Amino acid sequence: MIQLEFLARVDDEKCTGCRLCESVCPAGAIEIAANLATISADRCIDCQRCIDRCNRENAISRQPRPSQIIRYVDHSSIDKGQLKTLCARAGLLPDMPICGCTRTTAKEAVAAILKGAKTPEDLCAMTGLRAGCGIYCITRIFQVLEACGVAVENPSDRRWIKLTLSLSDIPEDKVMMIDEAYPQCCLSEDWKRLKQRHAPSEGKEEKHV
Amino acid sequence: MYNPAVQPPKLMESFYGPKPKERAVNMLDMVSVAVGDLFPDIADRIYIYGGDISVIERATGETLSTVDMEMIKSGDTVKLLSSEHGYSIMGGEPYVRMLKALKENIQARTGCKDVRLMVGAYNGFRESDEFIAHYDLKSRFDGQVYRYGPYDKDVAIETEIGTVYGIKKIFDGDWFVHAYYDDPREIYYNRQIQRAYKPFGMSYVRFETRSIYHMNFANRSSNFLPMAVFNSAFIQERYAFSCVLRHSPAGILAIDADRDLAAIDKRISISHLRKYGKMMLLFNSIDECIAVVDGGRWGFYIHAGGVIFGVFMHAHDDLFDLSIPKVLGGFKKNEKGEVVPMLINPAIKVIVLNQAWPGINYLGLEQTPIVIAGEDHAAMWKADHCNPYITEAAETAKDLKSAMVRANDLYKTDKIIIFDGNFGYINCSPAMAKLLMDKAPEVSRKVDEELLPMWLKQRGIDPEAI
Repeated sequence: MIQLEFLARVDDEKCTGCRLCESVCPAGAIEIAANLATISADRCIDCQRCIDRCNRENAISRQPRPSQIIRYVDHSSIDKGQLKTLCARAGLLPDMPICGCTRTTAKEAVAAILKGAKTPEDLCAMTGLRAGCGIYCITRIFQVLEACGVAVENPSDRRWIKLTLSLSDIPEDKVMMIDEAYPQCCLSEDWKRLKQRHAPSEGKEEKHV
Repeated sequence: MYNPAVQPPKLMESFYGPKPKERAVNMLDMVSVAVGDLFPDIADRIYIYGGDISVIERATGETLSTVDMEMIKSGDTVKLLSSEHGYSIMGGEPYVRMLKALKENIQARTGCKDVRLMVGAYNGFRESDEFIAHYDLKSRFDGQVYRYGPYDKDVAIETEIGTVYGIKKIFDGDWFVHAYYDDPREIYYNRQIQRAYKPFGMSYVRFETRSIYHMNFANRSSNFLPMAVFNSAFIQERYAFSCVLRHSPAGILAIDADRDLAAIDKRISISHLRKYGKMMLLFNSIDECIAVVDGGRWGFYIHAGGVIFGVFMHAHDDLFDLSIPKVLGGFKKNEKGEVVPMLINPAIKVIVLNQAWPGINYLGLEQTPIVIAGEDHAAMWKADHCNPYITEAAETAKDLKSAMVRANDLYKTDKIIIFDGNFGYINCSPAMAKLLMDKAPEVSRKVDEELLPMWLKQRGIDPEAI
């Protein structure tokens, strides 16, 4: 959940339609037409990445919204068992924040997909994911989309690349080989812990997420 | 009597942070404690801020004289890969001097003219440009300066554990030099495991790779990923050698250069476990304090006695002890059943932010009372989506003096420590100076006799052999 007091706004006089801002917007809020960028207030999550990127023309600025809004997907109407199953399929526990910045939980992200999010951009626009640093949660976004059966195709401009490689993907024999060569990385111990997360028990979930 | 407070390195104005203002040491009645007074056995250094900086160039030249550069031909393109934080350690100039000497040495030794400095960024599209302008890198590096960052065009790198994505433009020359620094900043995550390899999981790779490095591997095992990238055929085909600005709490220790990165990494580990081990345990022994953060970049990364504030936030654990699986990066349920970040150092009773950048997540910071000095500064923090929960904990004061009064209302203590970018010294209150001096002898004994042998063995290093 994030509270939004601001949004990005384009100065039509300065904008050249160069498209630099479009590809860095995590929420798919920017469209370019007739050499002019427009930003959807309904999708903007105030991450300020477009403002940062527009470092030639400085055509985008941060403006107060008419009133504060909250981006949050209510999961209370969704069956808890379904949420839990889909989170587990993503290798996540339902209450686990998948973003250190916004603290969006795995179950909120899953709920957003069940309520219509079909792309990483949709997920960000609905929940506020990637409004903070924009970096570390991206793999979690791919994981929950994949777990919910949403096909994720890399965009042609490579604005993001689907990458979900995880410690738990490494075969056990490989883990043991690495562990022997580099015991300081404690790979097998961590590998076992992550493997357990894919089939979370009630007790484990209660104790530690 | 203690030494007068030491002036910290100058600040660089930036798009990403508050306008630099008067430093905390000039507004508060502080003293300083020298690292060498605390621990005489770790006081060696070649440079500290304010000293003769030409020593960096000389040391770089001397170290490089032992490095094989035969692989570089006169018509080749060589890329010097530099990373963000080096440009802010002790004002950044030592790193720039090392890079400059590195370029000149390669050109003189190999006849190669096309040696390009690649200036890395954490996240922002203007970070590298700010460094290039601030240090006048275009003219100092003959115009051969290029920026790069985590959103640049990708290149696939096949590693022994799977495909990841690097930054294409830094690896498309004939050779690259890993031009790094070793201050052990993220000990709470890196755990002093394969420290010298870290940029191969961070600054040299795309943001998706950075994401899996932080999110899909655990606290200790994540450090295998950068090494797997480094050991890939793609990287090894282009790798020339490494050149590292080496640090200790006392200052810059040496310039280390070698084609064998594992050898450099081992030297770093031995040095850090001994030297930073003492500073870390000393910080662990602080029972209560008000911590003042006063620097020109992300507050998390601002030093006192060569240790960053982020490490102090987690100094209640033994970050070097690999038998502890996780010291940061996790959430847990509290007594009310709420999911909260893992606890930060309970000795920090109040945090005063005099000047520090938002823009990275300070996980757990909201668990401690915070007072932000200056309305404009506070406005930046409160509008930062990297730290939305800080607004629940932070109060605003009109200036540092008012912030300190409020901090003392929140918790009465005369122990104050300032994180202002200093190596070699800790600026602090007289009561904190006394505590540090009193605790240091026992800390030193415990590290030498008990902890250091354990830390070394955990990393496969025989304590008897060093």
